[in-house]
Amino acid sequence: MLKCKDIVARSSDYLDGELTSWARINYRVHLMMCTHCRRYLRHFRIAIQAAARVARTGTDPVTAEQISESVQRNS
Amino acid sequence: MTIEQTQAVDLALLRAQDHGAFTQLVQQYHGQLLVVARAIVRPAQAEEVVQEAWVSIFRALPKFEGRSSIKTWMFTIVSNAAKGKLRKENREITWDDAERVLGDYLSEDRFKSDGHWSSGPVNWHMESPDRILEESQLKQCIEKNLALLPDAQRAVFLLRDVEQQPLDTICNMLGITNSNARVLLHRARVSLLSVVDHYQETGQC
Repeated sequence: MLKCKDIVARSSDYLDGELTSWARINYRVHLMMCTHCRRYLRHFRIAIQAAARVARTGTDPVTAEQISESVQRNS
Repeated sequence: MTIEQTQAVDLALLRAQDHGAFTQLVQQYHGQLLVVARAIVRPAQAEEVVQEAWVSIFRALPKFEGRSSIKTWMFTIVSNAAKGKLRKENREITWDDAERVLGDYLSEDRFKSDGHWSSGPVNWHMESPDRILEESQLKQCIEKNLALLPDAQRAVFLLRDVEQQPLDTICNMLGITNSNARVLLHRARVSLLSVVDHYQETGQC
């Protein structure tokens, strides 16, 4: 029987499809029964998606232009 | 920078080494390539590795066949360049603080001795990524903490959750095992969860 602590510890493997099918079934059974873990997993997903969008920010255009020019001069 | 914009760089223009298209590519990916390089070489060398990689990328663009996506192709060029630098110096990848997890989301008192929550996760009032990004203070807080992640964790997070690369591709790029990659990724994600959770609870970074 999985404990909440296990649900948290394996949450990345669950999201990435890295659990065996048996482990995945056990995981889902726990989620069905546990509101706290459902909330945890919901928050985990939201936080990852939000942070991923923040991390996608590009380089400022002036720096990009400088790099681009120097690369083309050297090629 | 959104995914839609990322895909907008015109491959035909890039193959023709068009200045504007190439500059746009640099603007979108320079930061990401640096993150990957920093996970392999020392921070001071990463900038140099990426500069050189841009030259290789620019020269190779006319021959880019599109068998992989352009970003996967660029990430591979940078990681090979960085690993080449390591080999030249006879060094191996060293991570100083890859173990570190930010915040206290997983502190011991979160769980009872039987392994169940002592008190469950707090309620969030911002329950979607959109809502979170509207909160500029929280957005800045996430940005700040992304920079605080250990280099290897940041690289795995970027490649997996931002660039959606498969785990085995990430392992090849960074020269790490599957279990390494999974641990690093989980730590990065928990740190970022901790940051968002703390802000939702206290209104502070």
